[in-house]
Amino acid sequence: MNGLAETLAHTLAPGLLYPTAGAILFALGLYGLIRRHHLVLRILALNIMGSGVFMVLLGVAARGEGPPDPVAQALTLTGIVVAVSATAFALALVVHLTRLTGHAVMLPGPPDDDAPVEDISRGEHHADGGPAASDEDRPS
Amino acid sequence: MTPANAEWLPAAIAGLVALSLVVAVLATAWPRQAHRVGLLGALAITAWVLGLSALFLNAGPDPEAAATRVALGGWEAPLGLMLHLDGLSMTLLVLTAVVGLATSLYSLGYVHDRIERRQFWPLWLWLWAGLNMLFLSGDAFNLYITLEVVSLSAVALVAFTGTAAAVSGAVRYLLVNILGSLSFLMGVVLLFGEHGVLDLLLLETRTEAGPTERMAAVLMTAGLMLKAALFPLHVWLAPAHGSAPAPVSAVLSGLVVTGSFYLILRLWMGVFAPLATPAFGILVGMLGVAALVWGSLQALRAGRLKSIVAYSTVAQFGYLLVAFPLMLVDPGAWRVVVFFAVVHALAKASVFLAAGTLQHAAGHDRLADLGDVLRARPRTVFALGLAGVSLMGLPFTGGFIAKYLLLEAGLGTVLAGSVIGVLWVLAIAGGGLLAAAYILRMVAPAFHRGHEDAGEAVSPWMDWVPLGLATVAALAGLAGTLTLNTLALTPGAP
Repeated sequence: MNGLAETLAHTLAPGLLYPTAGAILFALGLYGLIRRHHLVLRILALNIMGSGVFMVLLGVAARGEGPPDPVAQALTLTGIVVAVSATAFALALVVHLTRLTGHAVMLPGPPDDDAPVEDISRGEHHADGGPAASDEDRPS
Repeated sequence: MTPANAEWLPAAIAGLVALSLVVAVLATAWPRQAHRVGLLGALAITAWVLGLSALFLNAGPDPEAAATRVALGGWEAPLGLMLHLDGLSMTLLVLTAVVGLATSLYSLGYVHDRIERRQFWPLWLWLWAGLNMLFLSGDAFNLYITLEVVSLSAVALVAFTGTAAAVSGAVRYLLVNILGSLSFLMGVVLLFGEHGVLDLLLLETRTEAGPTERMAAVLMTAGLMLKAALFPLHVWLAPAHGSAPAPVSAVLSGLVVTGSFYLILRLWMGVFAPLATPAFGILVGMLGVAALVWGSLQALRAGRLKSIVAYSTVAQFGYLLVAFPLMLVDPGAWRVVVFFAVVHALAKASVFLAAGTLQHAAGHDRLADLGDVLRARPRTVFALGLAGVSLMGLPFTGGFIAKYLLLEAGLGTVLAGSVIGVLWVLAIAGGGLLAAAYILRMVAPAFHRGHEDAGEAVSPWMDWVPLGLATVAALAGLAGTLTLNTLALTPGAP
């Protein structure tokens, strides 16, 4: 088995191996995103898709003669920063949702016609139980 | 072109990006004063955009001279990032400024809790800054970054109220957005791997109808369609737009969705232009017809005011898809499409703001129980109706001009001998009827006899801003020539 992998790696130039593997990761991630319902698994699936994209990017940059294109590496670093921030934000939302509903899955469908409406413009609602706006804070 | 204008224009473009970022950072760093920073910033950004448009329009009637590219930090493409201003981006910047200013004024009355104000304004200003950068960016990877800035702040705004429904809607919106962004990024990576440049204009000169371009076109278009909620990738829209606070819904339906559509249009007019075939156009047009019918039927069935408006966004964006086959026959039709998107954004934002006022007064937005409030608040109902009339496309409104021009383009394809053109004409005309049906459904209770109850008091901002924006949407018809002339200042476009 090891020999087969080595032969494959030698046969396929790195310029082809990495983009192909990246495309496979992308497809796997998409499959996981659609099939899984647990939100943490879905976020993981999106991260796998992201890794696939970056692998394709680095792979195509290493194609051809000479040293790899540094622009591609700069793009990958930027992309990783964006992916990390988006993942952190998504996880924070999922934690909040789990606290509210007890499950890390999405509520089905749009809000139905009888659900209560949370309207932040009305006086009785305060975020985090904070105090109501005092009069001098109100815009004139 | 006067030399002074030519010198000022690049500085004004870079200055707009800097100004919107500075305002967003200030509001984030100084949350106690976020609403004051936000209001001043909104006025400043709007004034700057209007000044920029004056400079741009005075720069000269020659499209090549009017469109301006700014190399940030003196680094030219292909290595540096280019800012790019042409007629298309100018029009959408002005649209963003008008809707943004109206939303900011409305939020003064809507978001009055001290703590919520600290959270709302920074997020909204980041969203606005992201949109400004999106419309000015001329670099494929930079576009991905601006898309992410826009979608992350939009998701945070959807989750703003913190209820289970809102957070669930936000999670759905976020997953969809990340998927769309990744698909877009994969397309960018493929184009970069094939051509080694990211600048859109350089890409445009190098692309031809090859397999890599086809793959990239599919990935990028699908990702952006997902973000723009274009049929059949629209299912996330109603939960997200329906559960968000009113000013957020207005911005999401008016501007964020339009931003993704702008990018699709820009790519297919430039980089992917060699790939457009009549069969592809017909496929997209069919999707548009399906969106028109499905969205309108859902809007007719929905029981909540804001759900009706959210589904009508799906339906109205069907028009933009129907316009694609028209653009293949008459390339100049893209200007009509943009004008339609502008009028739709203005009208849709004011409908959402008016719906927010009614919801605030009544404490809910169930259409069946809204009659009392509708009867007691003629000003808001008038705003709803006026914007609705523009969405339907009745004469003398901006919507009428847009639909008339679309119909004209559709009839042009029929005359050019295209049988399928009949379907487009029927869809454009029939969509207006369906729009009339669901808009009359919203305002009809106001004309029934019955009890009147104004409900909870609303601030003057919430009372007047929807009406003001609806008036702008209706009067947009008068600015039709100006808009179309501005759009003509787009180099490379027919």
